[in-house]
Amino acid sequence: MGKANSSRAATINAANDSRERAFTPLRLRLVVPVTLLSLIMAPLLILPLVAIFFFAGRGGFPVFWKSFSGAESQFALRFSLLIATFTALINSILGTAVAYFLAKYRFPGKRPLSIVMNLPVAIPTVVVGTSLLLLWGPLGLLGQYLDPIGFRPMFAPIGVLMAHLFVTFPYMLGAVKPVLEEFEVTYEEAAYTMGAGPWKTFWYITLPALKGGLFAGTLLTFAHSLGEFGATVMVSGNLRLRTQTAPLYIFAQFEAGNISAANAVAAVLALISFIIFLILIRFSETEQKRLL
Amino acid sequence: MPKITIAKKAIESTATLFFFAGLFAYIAWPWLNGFRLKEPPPHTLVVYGFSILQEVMSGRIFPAFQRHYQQKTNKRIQILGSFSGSGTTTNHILMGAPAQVALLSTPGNAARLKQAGLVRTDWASFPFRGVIARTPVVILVRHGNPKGIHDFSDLVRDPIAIIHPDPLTSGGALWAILAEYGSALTRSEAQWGRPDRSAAFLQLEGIWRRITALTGSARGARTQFDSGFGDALVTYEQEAVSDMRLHRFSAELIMPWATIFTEPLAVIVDRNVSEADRPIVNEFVNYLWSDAAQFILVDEGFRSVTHESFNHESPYFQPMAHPFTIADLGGWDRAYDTIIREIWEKQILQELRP
Repeated sequence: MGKANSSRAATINAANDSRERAFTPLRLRLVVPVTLLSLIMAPLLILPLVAIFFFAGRGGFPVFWKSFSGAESQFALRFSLLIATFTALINSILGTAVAYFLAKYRFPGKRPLSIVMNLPVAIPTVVVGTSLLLLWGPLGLLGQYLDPIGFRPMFAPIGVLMAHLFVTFPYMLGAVKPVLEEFEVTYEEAAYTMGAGPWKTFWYITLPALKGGLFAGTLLTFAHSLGEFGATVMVSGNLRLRTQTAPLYIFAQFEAGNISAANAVAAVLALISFIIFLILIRFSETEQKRLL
Repeated sequence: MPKITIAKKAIESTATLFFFAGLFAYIAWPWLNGFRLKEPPPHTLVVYGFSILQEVMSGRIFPAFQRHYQQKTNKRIQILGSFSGSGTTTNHILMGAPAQVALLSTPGNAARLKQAGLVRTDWASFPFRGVIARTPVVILVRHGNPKGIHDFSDLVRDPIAIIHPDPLTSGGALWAILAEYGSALTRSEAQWGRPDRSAAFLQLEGIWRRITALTGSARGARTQFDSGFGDALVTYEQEAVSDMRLHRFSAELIMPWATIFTEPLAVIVDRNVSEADRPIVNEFVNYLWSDAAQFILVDEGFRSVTHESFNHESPYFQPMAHPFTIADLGGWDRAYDTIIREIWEKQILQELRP
């Protein structure tokens, strides 16, 4: 067994070597375009990120810590993480349910419904924020009736959550639905014939198969919610220590000229997003296929 | 080989678990820690203000008022603030933001809140008709004044790039337009005995031709100017003085020959004030004209409305040759209709359209 393995590895290595040798001139020819592309991509993608960490670290750790540990920045970061957690939890349930119905059942109007469900990806987030205000605000379609009874979701944490649920919904759907569509019906049918009810089947058969999609979708939702700006700025009211999310804090501090305060939170936010991204590509096969 | 893979996977999974455990522990910390925290203050005052008030309010007047209130009533209060362009602030409140006190840059913003029924208490009944402080519109230029700018009339020369707040969202921008137009009126009146409207029009138009960037608030415009954009910035005097105080003012302040005194004002947003909160709100609004608050305002670069003598305390205020006020232009409503709407919006903006 071991011998067979090692001999096969040797064959593959030999094949790799010969391919490499064959492509050497091509590789040399690649040097120029790759260098050019790197020169273009560096200022576009990489250097801006370097700049954040450069400015965040410029005053040394004490300056960073002073900006970062203030009550307002701590609240903003915590509030963002909390909203992202709830957004990911709620959308993982809602998204899975919608994906399940869209993938498993046929009904009239299914196609238009699928399109509508994915619409938030195409709509500018500022428009999402405006539309929420026009629905739930005190002058809005529903808001004008809810305002007198004291239900005012806009400019409150619940409004921020609503905006994030709307904006991130398609990410969950996009991660779960393809898995459900490829998933063989026969497994579920087998479970039914063995006497399992629909819930038991979903719990023991469908859900385990969805694990990867759920994981990727939840992380994507979390990451997008963490960085959401356009819709949040419209509905949050930007009230420090109440409804100011981390991106809004960064924007407010930057506009006020407190670059170090803005950068401290920006660097931490970037770091968290980066780790989540690493986890995502490490554990999710679909993301690996898409990216690597 | 497989053993290593399994070990690597286990390490990665554990690291991931720890990362999320850490993240959630961080989120939950205030609650985990809650038993050690003091009782939350029973009352919260919510103040929305326009951009340049951020430091003076959050950093100085809010804490001072908290101490004042605690000494007077032995009760602790919490004050929450939100600061953006005056127009943005007004729109937020109109859309339902929970502001109890609004500090606005122009009476026009206050009038919109009144029209929507949110503000019922007449601010004209407050001391100084609601005006909490004054600060003139000035020009900031680069160190050494390389473009030789000494007045608004110098801004119409080429090549000058001007940074300006956006009149759509910033009250300071509206005051700036009134200053840019009104200063030419004042000058012609002093020279020829009567205001020359066409000269004023040409000056305003010339300035607007040279504006290269509009930002949402006066504070945003200054940040942009500080980042190196533009040759001149039209803004409040307070913006420059607050920096001089901290010895970090790198630009140069040009006091125009004639300019307007802006008059930011305070209003009570009655819709968001419960009967229980009413005494705190009233106390806070009255506190704005107390000697303590006015002194802080002067220290932060605003000119006091209550005592001219306070203004002599500050070493940073330059003498003004020909200051004028909104009353000289016929009051806010009239000035807004005739200068901003009729001249700037309907004529100059149309001409500048590409």
